[in-house]
Amino acid sequence: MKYSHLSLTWFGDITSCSGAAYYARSILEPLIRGGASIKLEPANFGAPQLELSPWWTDTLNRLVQSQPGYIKINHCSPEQVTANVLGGPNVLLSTNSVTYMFPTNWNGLVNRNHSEVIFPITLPDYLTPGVSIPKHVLPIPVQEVQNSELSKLTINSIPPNTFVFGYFGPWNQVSNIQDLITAYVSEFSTNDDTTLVIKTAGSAGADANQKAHIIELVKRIKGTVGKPDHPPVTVIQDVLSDSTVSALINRFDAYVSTDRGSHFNVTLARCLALGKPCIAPEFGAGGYYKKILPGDTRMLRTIPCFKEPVTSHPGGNPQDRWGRIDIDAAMKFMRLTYNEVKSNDKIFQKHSQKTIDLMQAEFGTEVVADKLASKLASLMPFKPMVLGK
Amino acid sequence: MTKTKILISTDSAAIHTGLAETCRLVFSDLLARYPDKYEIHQQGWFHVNPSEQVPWQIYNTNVKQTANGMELDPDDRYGQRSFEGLLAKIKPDIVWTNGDLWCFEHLLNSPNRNSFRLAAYYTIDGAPYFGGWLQPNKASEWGNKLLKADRLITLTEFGQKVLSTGCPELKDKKIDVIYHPMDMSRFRILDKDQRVNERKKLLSSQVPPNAFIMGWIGRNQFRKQNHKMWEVLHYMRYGDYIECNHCNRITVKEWDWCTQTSINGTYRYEAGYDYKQCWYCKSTDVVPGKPIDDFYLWQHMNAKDPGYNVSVQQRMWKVEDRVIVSGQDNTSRGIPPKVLAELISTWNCMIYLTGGEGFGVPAFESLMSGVPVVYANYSSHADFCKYGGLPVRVGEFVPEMVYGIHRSVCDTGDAVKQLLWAYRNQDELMNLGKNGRMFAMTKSVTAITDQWHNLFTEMMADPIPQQGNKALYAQVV
Repeated sequence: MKYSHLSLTWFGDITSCSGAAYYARSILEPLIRGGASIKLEPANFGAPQLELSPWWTDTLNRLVQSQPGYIKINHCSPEQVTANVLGGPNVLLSTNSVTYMFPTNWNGLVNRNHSEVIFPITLPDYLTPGVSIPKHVLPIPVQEVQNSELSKLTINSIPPNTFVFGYFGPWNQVSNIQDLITAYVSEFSTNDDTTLVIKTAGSAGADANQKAHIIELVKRIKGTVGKPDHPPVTVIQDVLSDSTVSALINRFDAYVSTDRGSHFNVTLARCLALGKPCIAPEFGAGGYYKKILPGDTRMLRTIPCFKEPVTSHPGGNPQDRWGRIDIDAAMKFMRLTYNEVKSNDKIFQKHSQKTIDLMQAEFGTEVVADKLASKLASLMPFKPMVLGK
Repeated sequence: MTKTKILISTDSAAIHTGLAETCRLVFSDLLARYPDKYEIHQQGWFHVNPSEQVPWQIYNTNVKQTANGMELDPDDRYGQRSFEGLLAKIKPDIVWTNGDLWCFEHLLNSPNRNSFRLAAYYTIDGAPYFGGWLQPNKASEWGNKLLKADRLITLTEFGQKVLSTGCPELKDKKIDVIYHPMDMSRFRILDKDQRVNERKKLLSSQVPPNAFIMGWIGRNQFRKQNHKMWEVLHYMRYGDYIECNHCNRITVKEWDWCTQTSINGTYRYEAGYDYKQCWYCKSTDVVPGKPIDDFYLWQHMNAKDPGYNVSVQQRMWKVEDRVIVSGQDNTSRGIPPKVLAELISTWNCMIYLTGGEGFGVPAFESLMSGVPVVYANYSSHADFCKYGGLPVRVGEFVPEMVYGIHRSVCDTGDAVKQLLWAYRNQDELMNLGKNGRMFAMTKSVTAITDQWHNLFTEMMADPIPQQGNKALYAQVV
């Protein structure tokens, strides 16, 4: 039991369909199975709740009643933190998904309440000027393994040979789905036999009216593109189980995001882990993974952005920026990716496999759990005889 | 044990329509025989003036205040607006619907489609069946929509065949066939003497109790081709046709509706054709038809339906005194099923020359009563009438104007030929009726409910789409 030396309390969203909850489940499972003593404090931040697997249901019921651990992990944004443990270290495992600069009004919450902060990507000092506690990076763990056992979802309205561009995420200002739809509809037509799948789940309690509203928004955005032949956009608004999401992502032929520079893009990580070519802004998570992946650009094309002031942002930092993407570049990248995949380009296939191997080696759940465990072990008052075995 | 929760979306089980009866029979029996397995709820269409009791809750569609008081909201006739709220409240495992496509299209397109399993029980009454557009071998308007049902069930083999050949998307989809269930207990089969005695209670003294009565039940509307009955009755009554001894076919004479006389060939035949030879095989070995004085038509229908003008049609064919019309002036109210069954049993045969039927409940009820059916050999009812009936060839097809679904117009001469056989061979006709009843008895409520139970069990073996990893339904913009 290689993590039996760890004792922690985990506070955060574990049970919803959000990226943060997926992250939590991905990293907690190997820790729990590896013998760590964990008290779970599940939090509901408003995302729709999932129907969990029997293992998770039992584990939650059991571990919410455990004794508090030595280290407190707050897996959330700083303003979502509730009571911390006294005496032991409190670590912020930041799920901050906002853009560019860490909000200044969070600095106090971070510095006062925590001894360490862990970000999902590398944030240079000039983007976190007010954070005075030690900063670390722990990448998003991915559960997905590309093999013959992984299902590929059938979507009833999409014929088997249709090329699927996929997006997965919330519908808000940061996700900027408007530019995604505009780029796709501008570049393609019904002759291309392609569709854009947008998987977005509304807030908890999103009813049929709200879902109908999303459909109306899509229609309106399509209507702004002034050409007669529009390719279809496919919308899925259900809360899906983890395995359904994996099968859905596996159906994508390419992942596209035109977000304004999110740091915390779980779906990008999952798509790369499945060897899907991705198109994402260079700002935020896209730029981070670009530096890690092998040299060829095919697996991750980053859309140039220019930074502009954030119009709606918690913290109200006047120096904060988010990205405005270059739509023409997005269109071009979508067409390039479409051509490469459709032509069964052998070099592309080789790079796809390399990306799968790298993502498993660097970001698989066991690997990331080990990294976190190693970090946490350094904070424990006692050391194990053999770490990580 | 967790019960399978089913939300029904169809005509309220508390009213008297074919859809209502299907729902009432199936789910009442299901609950009676499997009380620990099912929990039933219903969104009832047209849930007004309920007259039947069922052991489950029926939720209204929306009502609104009008000058005439509270009335059903036409914009929510089939629950298009209120279904989602009910879905969120009940959270069914299965939604079961029965109706036409426009009645349940909102279920197929539900934004919460992946949160339930959908069984669509669907009537197909004609071919081709693809909707407003077709890309041959590729896609169709209606196939695209029907693909969103987890299970598609038609009432007869005709519907199954039409869907799988007409909609390219459905080519490989499993389409089940489950017949309309029949409550056997209300049907009786009468021998000759019993029939005469029953007729004495029903008929006026002007109609001999041992007359030959062909009966009909249905709406007065274009699809039913009601006009054919008066036309055929005319030829049976007046005998203005020729019978060919060589090919056995009937050549009916042209009838001038204004002068009310038979005429030589003018429109139906070449000009001057004088009936001295068979129109079909040209043989001269023909005999003129003979009038039949004791041949009647009983029509059970709402004559005030906005369909054929009954009095005009009868007068055109000069058959007013050979037609008995019964039926209330409110089609959805109907008469009690047992009374209707008793009426059917007094007929010699049913005449069913309809242009297309989703099932043809009256024809099936006729088989149940041992009363054979002279039927148009096209559409769903032909699948079961063949066990206890006489088929009439289609003379021509008339397509519906919007979607091109073809309605049959039967060949008059062939209809007369079959009716003549029926009239002349009444003992054999009764045997034919008994054969039909034996087939119909295999479609008891228990047998049909067992099929539904098996289907629901199969459906529950798979998770709802958003929990599974095989297939999802999406909305396409």
